[in-house]
Amino acid sequence: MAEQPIISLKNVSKRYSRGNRAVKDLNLDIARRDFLVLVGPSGCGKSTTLRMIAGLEEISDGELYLDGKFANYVSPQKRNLAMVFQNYALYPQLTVYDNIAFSLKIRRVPKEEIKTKVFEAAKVLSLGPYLDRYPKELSGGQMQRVALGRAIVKDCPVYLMDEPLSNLDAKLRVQMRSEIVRLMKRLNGTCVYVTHDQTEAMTMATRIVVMNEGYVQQIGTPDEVYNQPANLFVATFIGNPPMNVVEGQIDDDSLVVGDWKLSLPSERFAAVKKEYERNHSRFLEVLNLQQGQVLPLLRDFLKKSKKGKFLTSNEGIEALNNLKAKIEEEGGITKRRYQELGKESPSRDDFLSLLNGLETTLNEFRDAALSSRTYLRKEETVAKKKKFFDRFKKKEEGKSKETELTKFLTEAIRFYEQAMTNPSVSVLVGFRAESLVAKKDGPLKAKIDLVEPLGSSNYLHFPLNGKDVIAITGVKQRYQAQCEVGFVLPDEDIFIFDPITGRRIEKKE
Amino acid sequence: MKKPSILLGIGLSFALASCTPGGVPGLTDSTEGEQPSQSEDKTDNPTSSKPDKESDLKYDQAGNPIFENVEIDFWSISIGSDGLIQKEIVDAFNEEYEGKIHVNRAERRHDEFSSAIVNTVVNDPENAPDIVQGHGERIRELQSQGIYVPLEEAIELSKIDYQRSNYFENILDDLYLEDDSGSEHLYGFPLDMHSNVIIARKDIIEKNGYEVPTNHQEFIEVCQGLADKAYAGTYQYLPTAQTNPDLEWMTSSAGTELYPWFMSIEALDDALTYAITGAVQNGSKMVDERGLPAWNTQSTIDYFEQMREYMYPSDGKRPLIRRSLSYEFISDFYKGNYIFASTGPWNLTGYKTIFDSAIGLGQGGFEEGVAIMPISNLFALDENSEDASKIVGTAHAFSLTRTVESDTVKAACMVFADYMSKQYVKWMEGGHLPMLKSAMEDPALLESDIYKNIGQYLGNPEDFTLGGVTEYYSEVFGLEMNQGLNEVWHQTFNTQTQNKSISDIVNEQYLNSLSIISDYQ
Amino acid sequence: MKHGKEKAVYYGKSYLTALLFLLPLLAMFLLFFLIPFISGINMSFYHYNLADPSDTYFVGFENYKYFLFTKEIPVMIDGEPVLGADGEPLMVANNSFYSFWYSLLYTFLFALVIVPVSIFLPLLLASFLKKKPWGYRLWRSLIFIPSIFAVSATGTAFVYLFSNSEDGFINALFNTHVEWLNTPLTAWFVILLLCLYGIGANFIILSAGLENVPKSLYESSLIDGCNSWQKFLYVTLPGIKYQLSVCLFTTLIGYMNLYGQNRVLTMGGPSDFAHPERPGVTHTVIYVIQDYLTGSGKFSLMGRISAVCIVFGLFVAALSSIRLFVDRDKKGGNKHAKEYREYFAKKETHPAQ
Repeated sequence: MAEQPIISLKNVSKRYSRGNRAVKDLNLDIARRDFLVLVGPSGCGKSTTLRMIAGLEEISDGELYLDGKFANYVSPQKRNLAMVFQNYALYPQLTVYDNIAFSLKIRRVPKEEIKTKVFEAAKVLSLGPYLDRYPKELSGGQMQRVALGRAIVKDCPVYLMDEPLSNLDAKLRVQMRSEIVRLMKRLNGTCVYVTHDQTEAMTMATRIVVMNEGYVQQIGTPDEVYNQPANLFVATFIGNPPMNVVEGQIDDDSLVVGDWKLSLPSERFAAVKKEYERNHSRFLEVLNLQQGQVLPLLRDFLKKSKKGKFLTSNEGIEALNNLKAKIEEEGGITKRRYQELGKESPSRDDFLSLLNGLETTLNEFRDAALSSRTYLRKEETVAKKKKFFDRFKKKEEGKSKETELTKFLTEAIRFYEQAMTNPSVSVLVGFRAESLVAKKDGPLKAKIDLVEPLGSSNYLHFPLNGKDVIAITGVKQRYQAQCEVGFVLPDEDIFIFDPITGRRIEKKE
Repeated sequence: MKKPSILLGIGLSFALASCTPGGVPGLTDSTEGEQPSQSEDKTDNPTSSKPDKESDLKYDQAGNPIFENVEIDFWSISIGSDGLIQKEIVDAFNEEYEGKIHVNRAERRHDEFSSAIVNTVVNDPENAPDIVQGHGERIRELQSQGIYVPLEEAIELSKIDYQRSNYFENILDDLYLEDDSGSEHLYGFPLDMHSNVIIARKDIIEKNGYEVPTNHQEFIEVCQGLADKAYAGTYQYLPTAQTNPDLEWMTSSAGTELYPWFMSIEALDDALTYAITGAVQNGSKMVDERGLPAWNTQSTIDYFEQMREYMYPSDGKRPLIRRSLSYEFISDFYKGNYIFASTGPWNLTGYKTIFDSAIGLGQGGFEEGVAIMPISNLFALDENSEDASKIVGTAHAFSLTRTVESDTVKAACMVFADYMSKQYVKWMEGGHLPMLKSAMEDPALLESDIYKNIGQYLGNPEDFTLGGVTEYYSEVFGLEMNQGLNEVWHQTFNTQTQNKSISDIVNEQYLNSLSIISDYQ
Repeated sequence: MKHGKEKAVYYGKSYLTALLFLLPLLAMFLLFFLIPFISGINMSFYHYNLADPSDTYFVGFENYKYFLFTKEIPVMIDGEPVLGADGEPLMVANNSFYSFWYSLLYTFLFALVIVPVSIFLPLLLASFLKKKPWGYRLWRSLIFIPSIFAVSATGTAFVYLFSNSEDGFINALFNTHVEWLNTPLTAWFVILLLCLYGIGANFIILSAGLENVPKSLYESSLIDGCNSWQKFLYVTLPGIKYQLSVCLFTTLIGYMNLYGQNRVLTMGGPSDFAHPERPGVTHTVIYVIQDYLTGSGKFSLMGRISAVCIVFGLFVAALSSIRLFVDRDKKGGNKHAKEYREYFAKKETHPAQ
């Protein structure tokens, strides 16, 4: 990109006390005049990201650049941003006029200029008649417009919006959606917009950032995110109704999903095999790393070398050589990372960063993997209530986390081994509801158990391989429950996902 | 509500959203009796002795009244150590009159005494006391409001032997008060008289070559001499065993500032001693015939000017009095830092115990170390003036409230009062001199330990006076209120009024007293 | 009426229930407020002698005139004027007049000082504790605890602390000779300190208020460029407006009724030496009323006391009614809307501008 991004986040993390991380290792560049939407379920870290940009939250790790300048420690007053809050945050004691004029008054803009700006903004937002009202005399939509007005009079290059429409009723939301988009175009501003509503994201954004559990799942245009979802999470989160995901088996040359037998080009099956093989070796490496001897050795070495002259002592040199040998012996990630250091005689600091890197890899491997296949986890997870005494069990918790990781890794490895040796390979098959086309002679037969008429279309629900699958049909053809319908599903609309990592396996490799 | 609810609550409850005024202590709940109808004939005719109703009092053949289980409610102002002694006497009385008269004694604090009586008598006569023991000089206030009734009738009914001439008339005359019709009646049955005394470090005075003073000139001479000696470095003193285990006499270092005369500016008793007695000894009258203040005389001014001079000398002499706001003097007194101090006689027994142990009997202890001086003559600038020996004290006396209707109760009250007044030996333990003239000749008293140790030093009963009887006692003397003569005394020594002449202060406070008196009309 | 009876029973029941619950309060209100209040007004028009009911007669507005406007009075003894040296009736300053006006002045001046202090100090503490510093629960209790003690108890401790003599604890500690309770300013200062023991209630109210200020308003003001002071001014203050006004007026009324503190500490003193006709400088109105009630031993002044109470009550009520004005609901006018129309009307006629 030739132009410098106006906002740039590099490896940004947000850590709260007790080690909870809201945002993990986020990298994001926002170009001028982008309408960037951060979307994800609640608690995914999207608001935190926005608030870090605004300066309302400290950035625990990583760097934030505003207009190319390092801005981690710039106070919010000086970041030159405008922000719209979810609950509008209007000053209750000020009239609409004063609310809109507030930031200008604080900056001691001349009165006449304030008046002009406020009036222009009021005109754009059709707030003219309400200028003397107090916030409590306004309706939700009007308050929303005042909040927008307050942002636009500031003439900032960047507008941050934190779920600005979520308090409005559905109809008003649709209307304000387009108004905001038009307004931003007109102002030529950059907008970072947070929402949990994927429809808003799809309709408003020039670029979408899908987040889950603090990790960015995919960054792309609405089209990319919809048509080339990076993983299961994106696939099921974007789109309404969500993408149907059903377990399937690759047998010989066909993909069997319940009663259906789908035939796909063989290179796609090959891609699956290849992906599985690669994942297998990667998981093995991680398991090696977790159970290997290098990590404890490295920790021990670093602990001992804290005492100054250890490194130059005989014992130290011996330990260093031993460590190097072990790294060589273990290979895998450890060796790669070690080689990445690219040093003949690494210093203590180098080893420290090596350890940190490896530990982070370990910790995040599981989280990252799990976050992208939330689809599966939803069924596994039982809501755990945090109990008072849990805080005293920290040590045990750490231990159980480790064993949990081991369990996960071994299970994953077993799965891949089976997939590589068995003739039939388990995958997850995804297809959008609108891709299923009902045809009289459709080869894919299904027994409809529920019809949801939506007016413009009908949703047909039917079970497939134990899952509820939805298909969308036009309204001309009338369907009834219990009738059998044949469907056609084009090859290119079938997505195949790795059930362990949740990653989509590309059509072409 | 704690007070005579409706009447006093009135506007208060309107204005007082959050603050409850500290209650009128001792007032009891009552809403009835705002207009006690039965009271009218009483207040109007306090002396119309025998209305046509039949008396409920019977007499035996010898002419003595018959009492059968008569209950008397008695309120006493004597609390603390006094109260304990009195309780013993009352218990003895109850024992002696068992089956005949029983006295229920209750104590009322000094500051709530008058208002408690008025409020119960007016609002809650059922619970009002029959007989009260208050201070003689305060009887007039309640008598003028018709709360107390004359005692002659009751005395007659009780057949006790009361002769006006049996009592010291210098006090007793003030217990005879004029009623509305202008005739004189007894309103307080005399019990005792008492005032502060001055204690002095006799041993130090004598060691330094002086003698215990008996009049003002000598008193000032001793003070001046000791202060000068201390400053010169020749003052000899004997601190207590605590700092001086061998009890050796010590000599002051040069430049030592000694204030021989302790005076607490804030203590009421000291005001009574120094301000009122002082002014009286110098020939000033306290009240005139109408009861208005009369202390605005030149002799008062002269006296207070002289007192101010002792504290803030203008002629280069050493100051004799240290301006002290503390009541606490006794530890410095034992150390020899104070030579003279005023104290209530009821404290003396306690001081004796401490002093005996602190100085040690080897040095003579309290008896040799401390002189108890009656305050006669000590403040009279002119020792020959006729009032020089006067002691302004107070007297305890019994009064009947107007709520007593039964003749039997009236008679029983007088029997009780008479009994009490004859227990002077025991009662002297409280520091009180008897009102009965015959008591001062009674060997039982004269040979008692308490008389030998303390009683003989309390002053000549004939020198005692109440200072003047007035229904405006609070306004004239202002002991609790920072007004009247008390305020003159305060301002004499106050650093903030140093530049105000005494005559200005006296005149101001005189007008202020008149103003308060008129205000209450 | 179609269902008249059913309706009557239906509503009657609910009213009866409400009445049942209100009854104790109503009884109390009648017994301890309304009846005393009305009889107090009535009494204020009488010379009312509690000790001697025959001495009670109607005087009209005399009681009010007496302490509100009468500066000088003749010395009267038993209904006859006392003559001065010059043969004229002796005139003296009217104590009631000076007592009332000066105690009102002192009370009011003190309220002017103590009310802001006892609002801002707890506000400051509350803002500080809102940040949840280490041990804030403990601090919170520590701030509140003093206000649960009776004034008479803490006051007695203060009497020893600030004793005038050199062996008073404070004087002994700092080796000073300040006559704390004998000098007007220091006496008021000690009273103020004792009053500060009672800030706990305000602290609790304001803390609760602060918790309720929306966090997003603070963030919004940050984005708008406010500094700390502006944040306080535009977000905190308006956010706790109602709590502030509750505190302000309860505190004001409370301290207009100041009595316990000065009673325990100074007994109304020290005297105003330059003006003997004035009351002691720590006299408050309630103190004066109480003085009349108990100090004199005279009970013929009930009418006048009632009058003082009623005038003072009206004064406090007038002060309190400011609250109605402060708390009123603001309604926007149409100033800006009008300007807005004019602005665009002008622009359309002169598009070049």
